[in-house]
Order: sequence, then structure tokens, then C-alpha cells
Amino acid sequence: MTRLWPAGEAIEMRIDGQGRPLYFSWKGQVHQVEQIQQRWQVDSDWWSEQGRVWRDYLTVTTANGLLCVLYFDMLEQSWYLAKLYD
Amino acid sequence: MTEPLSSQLDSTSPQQNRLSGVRRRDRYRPDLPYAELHCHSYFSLLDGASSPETLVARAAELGLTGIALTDHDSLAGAIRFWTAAQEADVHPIIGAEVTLADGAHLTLLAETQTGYANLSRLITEARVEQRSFPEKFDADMAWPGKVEPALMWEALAKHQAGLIALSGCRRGPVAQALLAGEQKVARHALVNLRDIFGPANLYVELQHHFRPDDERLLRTSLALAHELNVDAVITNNVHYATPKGSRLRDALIAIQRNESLTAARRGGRLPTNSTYQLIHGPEMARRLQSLPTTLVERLLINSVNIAQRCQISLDFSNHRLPKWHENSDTPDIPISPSEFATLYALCHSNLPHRYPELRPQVLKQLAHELEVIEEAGLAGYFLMVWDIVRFARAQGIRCQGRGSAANSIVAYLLGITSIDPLHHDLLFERFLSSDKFTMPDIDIDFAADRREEVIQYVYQRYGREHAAMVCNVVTYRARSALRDLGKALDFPPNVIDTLIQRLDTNSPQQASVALKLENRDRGLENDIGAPDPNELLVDLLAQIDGCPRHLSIHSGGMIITRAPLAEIVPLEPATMPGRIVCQWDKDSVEDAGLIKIDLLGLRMLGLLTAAVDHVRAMGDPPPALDALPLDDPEIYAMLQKGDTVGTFQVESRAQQQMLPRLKPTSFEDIAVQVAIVRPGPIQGGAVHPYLRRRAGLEPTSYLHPLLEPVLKETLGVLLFQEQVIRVAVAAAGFNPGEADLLRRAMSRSRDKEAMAAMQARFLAGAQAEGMDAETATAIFGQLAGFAGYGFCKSHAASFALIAYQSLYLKRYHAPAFYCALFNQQPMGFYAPEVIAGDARRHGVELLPPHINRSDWMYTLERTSARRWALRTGLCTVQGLGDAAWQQLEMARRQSPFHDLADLQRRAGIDKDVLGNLIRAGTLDAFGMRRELLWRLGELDARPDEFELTLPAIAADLPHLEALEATAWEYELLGLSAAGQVMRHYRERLRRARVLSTWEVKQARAGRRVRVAGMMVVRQRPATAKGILFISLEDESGLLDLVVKPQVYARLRPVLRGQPLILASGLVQRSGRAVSVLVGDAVGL
Repeated sequence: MTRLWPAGEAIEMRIDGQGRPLYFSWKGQVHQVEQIQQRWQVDSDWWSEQGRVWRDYLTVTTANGLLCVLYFDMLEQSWYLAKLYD
Repeated sequence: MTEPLSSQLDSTSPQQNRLSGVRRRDRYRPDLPYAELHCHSYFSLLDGASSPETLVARAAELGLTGIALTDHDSLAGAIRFWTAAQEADVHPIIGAEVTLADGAHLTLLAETQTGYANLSRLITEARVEQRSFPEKFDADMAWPGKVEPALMWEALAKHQAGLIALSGCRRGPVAQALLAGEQKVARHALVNLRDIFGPANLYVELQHHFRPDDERLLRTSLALAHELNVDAVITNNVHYATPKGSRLRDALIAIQRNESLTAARRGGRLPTNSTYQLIHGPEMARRLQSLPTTLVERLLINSVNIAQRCQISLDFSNHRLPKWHENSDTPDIPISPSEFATLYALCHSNLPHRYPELRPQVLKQLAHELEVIEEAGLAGYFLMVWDIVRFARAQGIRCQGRGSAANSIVAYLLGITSIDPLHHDLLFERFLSSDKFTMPDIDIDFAADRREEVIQYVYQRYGREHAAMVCNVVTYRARSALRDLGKALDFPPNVIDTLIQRLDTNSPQQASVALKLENRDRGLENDIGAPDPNELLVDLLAQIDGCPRHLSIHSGGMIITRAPLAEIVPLEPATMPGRIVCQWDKDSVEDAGLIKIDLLGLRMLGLLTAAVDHVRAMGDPPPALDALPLDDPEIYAMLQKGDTVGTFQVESRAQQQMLPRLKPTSFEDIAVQVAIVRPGPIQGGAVHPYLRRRAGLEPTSYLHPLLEPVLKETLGVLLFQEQVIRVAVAAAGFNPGEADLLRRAMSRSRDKEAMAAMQARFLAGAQAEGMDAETATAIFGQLAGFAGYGFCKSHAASFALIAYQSLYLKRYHAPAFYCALFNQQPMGFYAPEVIAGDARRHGVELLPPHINRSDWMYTLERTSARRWALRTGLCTVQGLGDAAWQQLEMARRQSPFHDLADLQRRAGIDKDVLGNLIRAGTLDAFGMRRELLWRLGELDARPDEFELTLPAIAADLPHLEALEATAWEYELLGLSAAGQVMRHYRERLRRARVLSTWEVKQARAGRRVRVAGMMVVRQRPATAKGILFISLEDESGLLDLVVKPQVYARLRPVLRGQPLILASGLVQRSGRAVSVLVGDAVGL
């Protein structure tokens, strides 16, 4: 079942020297990033009451076979898990 | 191609993707060169967010190898871009993103001069030619007006020479098909482009903006490029200089669709992110890190190579004017061996007429000017202007040169101007100097109602291929910016209205500063939390300053060129039927080295013509306006009293305040009077010293003795632009041409560096003349403060002449003058009701509109053997259109109307308009207005049938109060012919000891008075520190009220909401000028 968190689930991310994501931990489990499938950036809603959305999105596959959408929040400088495909 | 693109592509895989927002080590050389070949300025209207200058400056900062300007179907910003690039030493490329007929975009860059001409031609075709815009426009034709540009592929094929094509953005014919997964269509489009441009001049355009499908598009594009053996290049489709501009661009896109930002985003019309800024090579390489390094380097190097291939110039000064004789198919144009010989002969043949007593000085000045004109190759230009003026005169269209051209004896001899430059000691170098940097500018005023004939003559004489109107770039003002941005940010309409009402500036930048001060206490937004919409508005207002809203037609500027105009600057249809405009404004035209002629419409000239015609029709000998002696004491008496309502240039409230203090006694004084009520002298602090010195209250002094010969005539103060030039010559040893460059730099003042260099040159020169640095700096400061806003003396003198002529008519032919004045409305400073009061005070009786006696316009009607009165025209009746008037007039010609029923039956006018005719008093001859209105309700409208006699129903109708009648007249006619509205209040006011305006003018200074009247003008000049001036009118005249800001704050509801007020305050006197300093006011 596909799970979607519009606001995102906070995750901890480890990156390499070139900024490439290596591992992230979610709910106590560590996932190794195997491949980045797609990436895109969103900068929008700077005028809206909900506030500006400025994020770098990634679709990645992990070593244990998960396909997920992560994003790096440019304003907060932190990582989130946005979507998980089973 | 040296190496196939796809062989490099094969070695990549998605794993090499990197994030953009996270710090990482740079794999590329920091000096990786890159040129931006796809860049929109704010001349991509409501899409680009940065000025050409800002883009160039940013390109210089980033160290780009070159930057192209590629606005949507436009070269409107090209000259500004070009000039800025020259100054910043950045390599400019001129191009455009053209819109094809199917809506697809294509990037075109001009490689050669031919390519530039083709680009301009293509944009013109996209905007004008294939839309069946008629060559010769006829008023009956439907005019398509502004249309969406659309370029046919056939046109592209015809005009491809000298152009380099890039396949375009995501909306390009290739990318669009690839994104839709239509490989075949994409291939077909690229093959088409390759066939048109050839493989050497076509590149597949790649872009990367971190959109979800960008990587896929990159790969499919590269594969197709390889397959068809076409090279590729990367661009960033720039829409703003820095990421900050992305917000304004989002807002502009919303404005374009007249919707809010939220709606625009929901509709998918906003870009997904803010990455469309200028970036340098290394940053671009980072975006492309999924591609192999060698391929990325090649895409970047291609941008540099293309940039370097594009070498064109936008200096058109070499081929600017049509050859005079080439176009001379008019039989009476003199033919001499050369244009110069023709000019020489014309000038000399007119000498006896202009200078019956020939002095050596005249010949010397003429020889000097002719030499300069010959050297500059401008003889043809003078002949062209002479020809236009000659045409106008032959048609009886009154005209006169204004501006700096009146400094020239050649222009005077050719009849272009009416002021003798020698008699008035004018300076030729203000108009034209022997250095080659300045272009002369001849502006001619024509009677406004007939200017169109002159413009049509120019089209006909030179052909539509060679002549067009200059455009006017309409930029955002504070008001329009607030309205549009407020709507984009979803402000409620009433909030926007309130913000607009509070505005006291035209500049969006200043409005932003003011709004920011208001917001200061609210606390600033942070980037994460909800933004304060007011803060967003502050930011966007500041950014939108200078941004064009649309292009319109310049008031009268025309360019005429030898080469087909469409190959120099794109042409586009204006909204106005029959008008084609070029995409450059007057500054761009001048900076391109082209010459424009301003053919302006001046209603006053139409007034003079009409007034003389009226005098003739009245059976009096018409005055010879062009040969008036300029020393009539009666005229100067009028001026000294400020009796100038309706006359030219000296009628405004500020002028009327100044006149009794300046007390003009000579024609030169009128020129001073015209020039002194201007921001230049006011801001330069020249006005009060001049007046005090003139009145003998203080001695004339000069900042330095060297200035005495220059400033003596204006008592030591700067009043005329020519004096800026003469001061620079006298004080700092400039030559006159150089000094005019200084003046121009000062008046444009966009470039601070150029000003600093000028200042250094001025100070060094002054020092060499033996002046100390402090004095020199002070003089330079005065010049700089003045130059932008002053009149040139030649202009002031030309206008003074028209002013004198209008005063003369008002003094000696008042009925004819007022009649012409009413018929030229709207013009001048005052509303018709004020003119009506003035006419009455000058003994001209104003008759109400009359259904049988009035013409459409105002006419003169003989009331006794020697008296003429002014009959109000029916055109003043609200709701009575031209068509209804035609019917009415035709019926009336058979026989006059004898009552209301007769009028309705024969004229076939609808009841609402009949009601207006009754209420306006035009049917007073048929009965009381209320009664007529009652009867109107009973009438059955069956035109051209038998008149039915219905039994009259007797109704006891109340008599119309005189005040109500007047109110109806004001509502429907804008004035009451019977008299000023205040007469109805006079008796009661007198009992309450409220004075009339005339009585106030007799009161001593400092006396506290109460006065009542109608506010006819409200003005808050930028130079008056927030003070509001009101012209209050009653039946005895006009009086100035002065309201200080703190008083205004208190009285605002009264002063903005009520036309009739009762004000109290202190009488102020300054010479013979009287005003009241308001302390309190109430509505009547």
C-alpha cells in the first residue's frame, strides 16, 4: 500500500562528501539508498498563508527494495520522507 | 561535429545524479566559460522581471562570456540592452524568442547585420503583415489592433539568412513533441529547422530547471540531435537576474491572466521553482552533472562559440535618412545639385523676408550653422522638416516649432520656428553642435484637430515601409502597481482602494518605502512562517519599479528611414486604428543613431485658428497673429493681474500666483514666466532669489565672477537650459558641444559613473580657470539639480509667443476667443465651468443651449448691433450623441421645432435623451421644465405619424427651484450658462458675514475671514511639501486656498467629498497675489 505524508515524516540522513544521500533512518530502521531515480525542485506558495514551500525532491530505491520520495527542506535544512511505495 | 553526442551520453547512468541544494565538491574548473543565449528582460511583457541593465550588470558580475537578449517577439529592449552591455564591457547578442503560428517558441540569434535585419523583419511579420493589415488604411475598415504574434514557417524560411536558431524551450517545436512522447513529430520539426537554417546554424536547445522530467527531456533531445547530426547547446531560459526576481515574475504571470497567485498556481501556470536566474558556467555544469563531463563542457563551449559568432552593431547613424531627392515626386520641390545646395538656396532666399535689414551678424550665424549642418550630413533632415511644415501651412494647419530647434537661424529661415534666435540671444549649440555625438531633435506643434493630416502626409510622402510612429513604454506607476499586485496577492478590493487613496506618489519605489514605514511596527516575516502580505507587497512594489506594463503610441514622434524600417526595428499595430508603431521609444531611437521628428498636437494652435475664423465671420478684420508687435501695454496689464484663464502656458494656479509678483513688462519676461514655474527652478531654489532681485529687495550676486556674463539676464539664477551649457563653457572651459553632452548626462542621470567622470572633468576645468574647488563643486551641484527639469530658452520663447497671441485674442476678441476655447475642450488647466465664469467676468454673455438656436458646437450669436454672445452647443448635453444630433439637425432644417411633441415626433430621439434635453434647459422656450418632463411621460413615441392630440391631464406641479435648475445644468452640461452656482447662496452667506472671493482679495494680510465657493481645482504639487492648493470659485472670481498637511488630515472628508465648501482662515498676501491659509472648512 502506498503511503503519503503531505507534510513529510522527519528522517535522519547521512550524505557523502559530494552531497549524495547514503543512508537514512526512519522509525528506528536504517535504509541504504541504492539508486536515485528522479530529482526535482519546488519553490512555490511564497505568498500563501501556509508559507513558502521550497524543497528538493528525490525518488530513491533502497537496498531492501523500498521505493520512496524524500525531500530536503531548503528553508529548514532538514530531510523528510514524503511517500512510500510498497 | 567532431564527436557524436550520444557516444558521450552512453557512459552516464542515473546513479550519477546529485542534489542541487546540498553542498558538494565542484568537479568543474571555476572559470568554466559560459554565455547565456536565452534571456528575457521585462520587455517580455508581464513575463520577464528584470531590466536589460540589471541583466547586463549581473552577467558582468558572474563573468559570463556573453549574454543574449531574447524577448518574446520583441526588440523593444534591444537598444537599452546594447548600450548597457557596451558600457559594462559584456558581449551582447541580440535575438528574440519568436512565437510560431502553432504557438511554439523558437530562439533566434542575429549572427550578422543581415541576420539582425531578418530578425526585425520576422518579428514585424509575426505581428503585422500576415494579419492582413491594410497598406492604406481607410476609416471604414475594421482594424485588428494589437494581436497575438504568430510567425509562419514559410516566413522563417524566407528570412533565415544571418540567423542562428536554437530549437527553443519546453514550448519549442522539438521539446514540446518529445515531452508528449511524439518522437516522429519531434524528428520532423528538427528536420524542418535543419532544412531552413542548415546544420551549421541550428542547435538543439537544452535546459535544466530541476523539473521532474528535465533529465528525460535532456536525454531524448540529445539522442535526437545525434540522430539528425545537429549540435546542441545549453541555455537557462532566464527570466530574472537573481532568484529574488522569481517572485515578481510569478506575480506578473498572475497579472497577465488577471487572477491571483493562488489561482495561477492551481491552474499550473506558475513555474515550479525559482531557478530561471542568470548563472555562471560552473553552476550550469552542476545542474548537468548527470551527463558526462566532456559533454557538459561541450554544451557550455558551444554557448561561447555561438556568442562569439554573433557580431553585430546597433548603430544605425550611417543610414538614417532617406535621400531627399529620391523621394521628391512633388513638382514644386526645388532641385539643386545636392541636398545641401538646396538648403543653402532656401535659407538665402528667405533672408529678405525674415531679416529686412540684413546685418553681418545674421550672415555670420547662418554660415556657421550651415557649416555644422553640412558637416553632420543633416541638410536632408532640415529639408524634410521644412517640407512637412510647408505642407501644413499650405493646408491652413497652424504650426510652430518648439524646443531647442528655435535656437537655430536655419530653422527660423525655413519657417520651422517663429522665434528669431539672434534677437533673443539663443544658443545654437543647445540644438546642434559640431561634435558628432548629439542628434538634433525638431519638435513641431500642429493644431491638434488637424495633426492627423500631417501624419498621413508623411506616410504618403515616404511610404509606410519607411515611416512609423515611435512607441511609448508605459511603465508601472504606483497606482497601477498597487492595483495589479494587490489583486495577485488576493487583497480584498476595498483594501486595495484604501491603499491607493493613501498614495501620495507616482513611483512604485517610493510607495514601497512609504508602505514599509507603515508596516514597521508589525514585525517582519521569517522565511518559514506565514508571510505578511503587506511585506510581500512592499517587496514587489520596489521590484516592479520601472517595469513596463505595455507599449503605447508616443504623442507624436515619427521616425523616417532610408532602409525599410522593418529591417531596423520591428513594427507592430497599435490599438488605434490605422496606426503602426515601432518597438523603440524615443530614447532608444536616439541611441540607435536614428532621427525622429516630433509631430505634436497642440489644441491651443487649433484655438488660435478657430478664433481668427470667428473674428472673420463676425465681419471684423482678422488679427495678423504672426505679426503682432510684442509690446502692447494692455497685454502686460492682464499678465500682471493674473488675468490669464484660458490662455496658453500662463494660466495655471501656480502661474497666476507668480504673475503679480513677477509683473512681466516685456516679451522676455513672458519667456521667464513660462520657464520659472517649473520643477527645475523651483527645486534649484531659483524662484525666490529671482523675484526678490527683480523687486530690488536684494542685490544680484554670482557664485563666481565668471558667471556674470552668462547669468546676468536672469539676475544671477539659472532659469534656462542654455545657461547650463554656457556656465560649463565659461566656468570650466568646456567647448559648447561637450557642454551639451554634460547637460544631457545630467538630464538623463541614469549613469552615476558617467556623472562622476563629468564632475571630475568640470572641477579640473574650473580649477584651470582659476576657481577654487568649493565654488566649482557648488556650481556643479546647481547645474546638476537644474538640468533635468528646466526649459530651454528657445522653447520658453516659442511658447511665450503662443501665450502672447492667446492673450491678445482674449483681450481684443473675447467672444471669438471664448467660443474657440469652449470648442477645443478639454484643454488647459480649467474646467468649462471656470471658463464660463471667466467669460462672464469679461463681459461675454453665455447663452444656454437652445433646441432651435444651438448648433452642435458653441457658436457666436449677435444679440444687438454691436454685441455678440456665446450660444452653448448641444454637444454639451450629456447623452446626446452625434447620431441623435444628425437626426435632430436634419429635422430642424425643415422647420424649427415648435413644442415638445413636435420635437419627439420629428427628431426620433429616445425619451432618456429628451429628458436630458429638458433638464438641461434646451427646451425652456416650450414651457417649465417640470411640466415638460411630466408631458414627456405622457407622450407616445411614434415618429413620422400623425400627431395625436391627447387630452392634457392637469397636474399641479411644484415650480422648479432656481438652485435645482442650476444643479441639473451642472449635472448635464458641466456648467450653468445662467451663472455660477454660488449666486443662489449669496444672500444667505452675506447675512452670515461670509465674504465673496473678490472681498477676500481686498482684505488686509492676517485678517481672519470666512469664504464660500466651489472647489474647481485641487492640486498637491510634488515641490510643495505636502501642501494642498485649492482654487475656490464663486460668481466674483477665483481664490487660492492653502491647506497644510496637518489641517488636511483633519479636514480630508470635507475637502475630498464636497464640491461646495465654507472655509475659514487667514488672508496671506505676497505682492498682489492673495490666498487664504485654511484653518477650518465645512461642506455647504
